[in-house]
Amino acid sequence: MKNLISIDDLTKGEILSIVKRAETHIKNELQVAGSLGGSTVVTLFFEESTRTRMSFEMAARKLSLGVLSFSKSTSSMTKGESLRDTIATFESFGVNALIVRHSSAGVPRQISEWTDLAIINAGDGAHSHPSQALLDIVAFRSAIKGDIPNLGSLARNNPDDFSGVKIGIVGDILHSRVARSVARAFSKLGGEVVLCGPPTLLPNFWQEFQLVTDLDSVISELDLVMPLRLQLERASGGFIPSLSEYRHRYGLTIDRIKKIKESAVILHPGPMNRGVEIDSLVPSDPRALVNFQVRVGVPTRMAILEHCLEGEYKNE
Amino acid sequence: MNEVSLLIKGGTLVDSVGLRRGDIAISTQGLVSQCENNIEIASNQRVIDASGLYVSPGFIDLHTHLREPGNNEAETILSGTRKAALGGFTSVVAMPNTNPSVDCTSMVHEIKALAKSAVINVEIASAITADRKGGSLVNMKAMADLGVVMFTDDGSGVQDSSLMDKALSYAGELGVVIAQHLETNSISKNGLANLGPISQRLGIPGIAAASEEIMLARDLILLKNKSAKYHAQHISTSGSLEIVEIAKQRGLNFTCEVTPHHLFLDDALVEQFNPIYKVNPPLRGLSDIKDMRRGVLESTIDAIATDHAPHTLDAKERSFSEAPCGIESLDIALGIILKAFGLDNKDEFDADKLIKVIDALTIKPRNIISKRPKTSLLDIGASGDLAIFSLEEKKEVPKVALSPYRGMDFMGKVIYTICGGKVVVENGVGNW
Ligand SMILES: [Zn+2]
Repeated sequence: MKNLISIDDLTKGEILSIVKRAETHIKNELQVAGSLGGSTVVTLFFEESTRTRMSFEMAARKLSLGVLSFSKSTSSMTKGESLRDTIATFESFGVNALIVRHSSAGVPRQISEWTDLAIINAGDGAHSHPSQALLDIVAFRSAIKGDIPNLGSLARNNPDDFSGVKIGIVGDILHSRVARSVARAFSKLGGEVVLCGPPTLLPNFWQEFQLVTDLDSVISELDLVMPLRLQLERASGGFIPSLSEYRHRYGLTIDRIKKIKESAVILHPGPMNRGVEIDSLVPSDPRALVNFQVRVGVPTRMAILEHCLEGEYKNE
Repeated sequence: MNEVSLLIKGGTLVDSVGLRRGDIAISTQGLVSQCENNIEIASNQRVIDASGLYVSPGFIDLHTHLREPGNNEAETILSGTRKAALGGFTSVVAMPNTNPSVDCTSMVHEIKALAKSAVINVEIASAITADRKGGSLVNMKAMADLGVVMFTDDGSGVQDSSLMDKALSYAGELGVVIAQHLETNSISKNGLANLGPISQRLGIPGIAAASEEIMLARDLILLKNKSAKYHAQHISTSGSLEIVEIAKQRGLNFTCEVTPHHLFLDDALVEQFNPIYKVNPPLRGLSDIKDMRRGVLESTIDAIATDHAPHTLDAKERSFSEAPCGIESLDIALGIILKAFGLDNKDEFDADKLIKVIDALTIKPRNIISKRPKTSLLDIGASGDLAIFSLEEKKEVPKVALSPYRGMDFMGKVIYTICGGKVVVENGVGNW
């Protein structure tokens, strides 16, 4: 059993091993791995997210795993109960892995201190969202390898090494677990990461990655552009003057994407605020892999479950 | 001459006067009756052999959360004062953020009644505003007349500048201390850890140093031309120290304190997301810690106060955002502080440093809350409150403790605590 709490838990080799496993699942969708039969996972969602939950549950079912589903909103289990008590209850059921989502950063890490069950982070506060980062790598590699029809030539010699690739994550970096995980994952594979957004939404004490406030100054250099979903309350919170000002400076408008390389890729972790961080027509641009990104979610999460439950698996 | 009941012989005295060999005799009234070399032993005296040990005035903690009434599961006046006694404290100032809060004379009476269970002295602090809500001032004079030594909304700062201005004006003639928990809510907001590279890398909402510094600067501006005794609680940032330095250089009269954890623990510890490291103000960076230590040694920072803030296991086993703030340290404070200043290492022993540190635990906090400042607490006639400790014995913190110090060893163990002439801790064990 292994935990997947943050991208930091994975070596470069493990990242590649998981994404390659995901790619085999994409290629032959009918193949069902049976070796994990008898294991049961729990989706333990203290913060609701139907998309992510269903994606994990579908992945588990495809692997013939038992699935239990817990959500805070529909359960009376957590009333007055400490987090640790809730975990002890599931432990007593004899399950094998907990897939945890929580609005507070660090909860999956805390839980991992209390139990030997495999802990898989499905998003915790602004900390980490490793499955999203891994599926973004799967999507990006497909483009590199030319697996996606109609896409221009992002021909790279080596899909296992992102040296020379420049990744721009755009928007509310400060509050984004996706940004933190994607930045880590792509840089582990050798990519150069640029974090771009308004000064109020950039983590300006954290100097691990290049911080840029002027999107137009870097956009033409990027091989991957990832606009983040902007929480609409950031405007009322004073982080940005208005949504229209935000769109003006950071939105992927039809005009602005003209500056993006022909060979580049646009990914969006979803759900999209069309007309804010991304214009309505942009997802139909051939460089935008937004729909493909959603399709790789289940196979990637299958590979994550196999990684965590089996410990090791053989590819091919 | 008073009859001597207790004689402490052969120790090294340490206080503001300096480091010297000396014996201390305590009268049957519980007061220091002699303090000199080689006092002769008479019959009917209990003699404590303090050779190889340091003898200092009993420690005084300006910032203790005893939790009673309201959260007796976390701590009571009895359990808290026992921990304090084991740590060499003979007086603690009990913070008013109990439930209900101490904000009226009847609550002061209640705390006094509860404090009969205490094994050491409990001084009472009241809130500045009704129920610590920041809306209206409490009856300060009536409570000062009952012996309340300090007013603070600790746990929250007084946000309303105009109300703080009035509190300082009103308290001026009463001789009581107005103490402030320095936090500007509009800045700290949902913050959980020090705003800096670590919290930003981990995605934990940050608390900027400015939250503390703005309120400190504001209060010092309000304090100008007022006679109030103002005390800044638990300062934690380099910026705060700078503000204190400048204001003191300009002749403004006020005091401040720092906690043992802000002298010793840094914000990299929150990486584990363990709420035992969650405290307010948050653990800061290494350079802040360095400046806090410098502040104590340069006497810019007046007192070291524990901000002992116990919680139940259940409360600390919640998520980092839901778990309450607070670190316990009363019983091990001395060891933490000695280690922070390198005084636990025989080879680096520095008598001046030890004196500075002991002053920050004894005479300086005493003079902050007392109406008549003293120059020594070991003078004849002083209360027989003593801490007798060894720098060569280890104090161990159990591995299972709900504490950031779990599993650590600290050199510096309190062997005897004497409060009002009564031996409350003997050979490191409570006499209760
Ligand atoms: Zn406080």
